[in-house]
Amino acid sequence: MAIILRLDRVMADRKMSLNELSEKVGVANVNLSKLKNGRVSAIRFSTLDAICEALDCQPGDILEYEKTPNGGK
Amino acid sequence: MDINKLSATAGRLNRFFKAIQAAIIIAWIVVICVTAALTVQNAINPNAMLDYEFNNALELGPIKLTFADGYAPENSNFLVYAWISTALGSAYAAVLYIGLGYVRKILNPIACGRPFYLENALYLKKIAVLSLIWGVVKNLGVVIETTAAMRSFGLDALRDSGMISSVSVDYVFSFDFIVTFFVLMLMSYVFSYGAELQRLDDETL
Repeated sequence: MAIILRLDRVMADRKMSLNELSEKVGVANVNLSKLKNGRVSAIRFSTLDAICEALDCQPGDILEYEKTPNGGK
Repeated sequence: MDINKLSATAGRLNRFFKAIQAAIIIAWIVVICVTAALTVQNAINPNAMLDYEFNNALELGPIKLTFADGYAPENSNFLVYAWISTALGSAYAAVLYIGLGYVRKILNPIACGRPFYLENALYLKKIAVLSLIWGVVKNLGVVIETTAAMRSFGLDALRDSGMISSVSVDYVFSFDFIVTFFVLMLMSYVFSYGAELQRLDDETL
């Protein structure tokens, strides 16, 4: 996928564990783990909003676009 | 939509269809046993007349017969007709039983609160095909039953001999099953799309 989630990097910067983020965001740590490893198709604005609030960051810090040779397919 | 209400209804329907399936099996066993008993009775005493009240008139599916006074068909002829009817009834029961089985498989995940599975779309397609088979078997069954009755009771000869005063055959073919087939196929595509939406929702955080 062309969109890469950099949640692990931002979490490491903020020194925040998955369980801690899970509690603050209100999303199960299993699901946050899926998000961290890029195993989801989409993310809701409400979830993104809660993550940015908890990590004190911008959506651009978490999401990154990477150009792929086959056009992101 | 109240998903709990939907789940409860699906659960109740599932149990209801399970009971109908059990009733089909019991009825099928009873019919086979009765026909077999009549066959055995006929083998033991071929001259014994079956306990059947004709009252000078008989309805066999689409055939309406009016008998002349004193006429009754022979046992062996009656048994041939009975076995053909039993075989046709078994075919109807088999299609209905399998169809109900697929409906129950669709109801199972609905009872758990998740109606849109790709498997449900496939089961709907199978039910659609079964509805086609049902329609063909039902329409063919009318012709087979009528022909069997005509042959088993020797009605052609009877009519010519003047033993019966009238014979009328009214074939009624039903083509509703074609509409049912297309409606079910359409529902199957709706379920396929629903399953895709469900998958996307499951993968969205």
